[in-house]
Amino acid sequence: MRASLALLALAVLYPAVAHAGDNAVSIGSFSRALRSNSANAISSDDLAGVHLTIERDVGHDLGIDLFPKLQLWATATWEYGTVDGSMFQTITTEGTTHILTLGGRARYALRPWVAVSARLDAGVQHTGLQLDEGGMTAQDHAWGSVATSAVGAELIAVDHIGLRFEMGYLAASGVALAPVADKDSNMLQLSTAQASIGHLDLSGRFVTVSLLGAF
Amino acid sequence: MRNLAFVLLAVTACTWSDDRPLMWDRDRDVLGPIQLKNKVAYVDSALDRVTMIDLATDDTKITTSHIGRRAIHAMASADRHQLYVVTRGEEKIQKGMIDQPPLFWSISADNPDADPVAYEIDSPFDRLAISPDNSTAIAYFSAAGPDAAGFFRNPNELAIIDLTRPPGDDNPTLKTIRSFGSVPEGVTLSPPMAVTGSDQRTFAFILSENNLTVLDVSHPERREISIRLDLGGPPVTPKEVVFAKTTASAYVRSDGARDVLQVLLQPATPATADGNDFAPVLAELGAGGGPTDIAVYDDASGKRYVLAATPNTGEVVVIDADTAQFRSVPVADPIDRILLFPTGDEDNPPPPDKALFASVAAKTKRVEVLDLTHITDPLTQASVRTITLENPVRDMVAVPGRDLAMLVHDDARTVLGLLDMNTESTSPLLGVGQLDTYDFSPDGSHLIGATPNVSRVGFVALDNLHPTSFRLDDPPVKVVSTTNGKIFVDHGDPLGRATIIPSTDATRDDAKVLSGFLTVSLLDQEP
Repeated sequence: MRASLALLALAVLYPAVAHAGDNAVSIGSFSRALRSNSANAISSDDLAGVHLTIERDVGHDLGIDLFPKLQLWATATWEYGTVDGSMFQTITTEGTTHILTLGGRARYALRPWVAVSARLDAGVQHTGLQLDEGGMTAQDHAWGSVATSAVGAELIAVDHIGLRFEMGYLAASGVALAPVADKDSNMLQLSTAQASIGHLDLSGRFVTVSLLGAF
Repeated sequence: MRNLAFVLLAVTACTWSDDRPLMWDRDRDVLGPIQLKNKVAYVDSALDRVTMIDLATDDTKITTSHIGRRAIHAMASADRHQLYVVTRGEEKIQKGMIDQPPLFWSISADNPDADPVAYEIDSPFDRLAISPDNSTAIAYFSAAGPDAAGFFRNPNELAIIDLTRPPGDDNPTLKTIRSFGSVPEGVTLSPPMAVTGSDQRTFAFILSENNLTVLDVSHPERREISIRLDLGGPPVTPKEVVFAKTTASAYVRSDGARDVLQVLLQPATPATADGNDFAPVLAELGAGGGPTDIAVYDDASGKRYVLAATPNTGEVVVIDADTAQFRSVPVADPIDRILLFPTGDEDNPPPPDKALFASVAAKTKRVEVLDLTHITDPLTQASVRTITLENPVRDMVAVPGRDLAMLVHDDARTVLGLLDMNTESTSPLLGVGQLDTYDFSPDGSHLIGATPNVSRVGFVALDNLHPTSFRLDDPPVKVVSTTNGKIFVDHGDPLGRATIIPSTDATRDDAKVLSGFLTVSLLDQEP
């Protein structure tokens, strides 16, 4: 939450130095509804977090002009999300994700102060899972692939600063995890065979609210 | 404005809330580790599954089998080839729950691909008795019962399950036994015994205060036979039943009884078409002083004897089971533990030549050895030798397959002694921690012990009493020795963590830790 507030503050300040142009930065928070069996196992809550997206109007760069008022932007996004929960009322759980995606956004300006957009992204997701019970902690993480589709609306206030609302669906590959207990690294340990806890699938619908600055 | 309304509507639609399946919030109780032949089993009451760890090969395999809702009791068969579980079932009260009756599950340890077999037992029994040949199971209630759920509970109800037949309308058979005001405190099933001709059957002996009930479980529809034990005197509580299958008889030791009760099952003409074709013939074998422990053995000629300790008369009594003739041997200590040596094969024990006596309740610093070879010869003087110890005896256990007895000298189980029955000498052993969990290697070559305070497993070579230990990465909770000589050390981790030591002389390079087996494929499980 503290990181989220810091990033939001950065976003508020950033447009002060931004200029209108072919680049944009958006920063905000999101909530992803986790409804897969595996996600339900670790928490009843939604995954919440922050994201940072940088965008470039490649349509302008490449001279693509399909329709008036339609812009094509290339996007690169970093996302961090976390969700806490419990299993069987005794095992506390924490799931985390870091996502890096590349993609494109089609943006159509309905009015000078209103635009709608649609985007498609693909990339990788680093998923972590930590389990705690009675002082015993085990954790594991793994990389998987993700693809995102979303539609959104932008409300531009002044000087190319605005708010963006998006909703969409993130499809993530289930990653096999085998949480390993934290051990004292100074001691020589016996060789360990770790049984897999299964595949954690953090796919789900999401909503985002972002501050947007173009320069 | 319409666009903005669309966005807001979409955002609202995205914030829906689905209920999380109830299974992830259920109470979890893990039963185990349960020792099977070359496997170790755990039963998970939240995931409704049995996890078996196969230690037969170096490549440890984990398999899971699904069973019913809310497991409450589990036990292995005597030969450790089968696992039996009682599940409490569930009422469909909330979304995600199902209507499921209490079930008895039979799970093969030898064939992990075989589906568990469920028998509908209708009542949430929380105790099991299994016949030695795995042909019959009886589910019954403990004195307290499984929980406070339900409205009525009939503590004298039994479910008799024929494990040789599939479940059906007539299997299991539910039966309420006559109680005379008492409730079952234990059920013991006999080995197959022939009462009439070669018709081998299993009999259940149901122990309750002042009452012994005999039931022909091969014909559960027939009436049970009740034997009153108190005869209006002080209460008599049957505690121990020992069978002699060749003579279709049982020997019953009871608290508050003067003698050992012999129950000889003999053929009888049924009074009705569905009547019993046997009748118990009772004999009080003249222990005479309220036996505190009994042992039954056959001598080299096949003659059966009952050895009973009677502290009230200061004697040990050797009773000829056929004639009820007895010989008393004076022993001053209040004996309450009898072991016979040599132990040999559990299923086919050799004729014993020595009996070892201890007074555990009295905490005496002595044990006594009685020669049994000529004990029934009245012309031979009974030879009782006293072995004086440094410390009192708190427990005494025979080492399987060896002429050794392990003596526990203190409540903390830190001071042990090994008594060699051949030389009748003791060797003390000092432990760093108390012996909270122990087992013997299958060939009886080693004592294996552990305590949760010390991250080690201790071994004592029983040939030369040489102690060694194996350093663990985590504190142990329970040690189990499988029949192929592997040592399974459970660490009590809710996710599953165990150290597998290939043999008693293995090094740390040979051992490995198996982790996460209780949550294996948990995330892939459908609710």
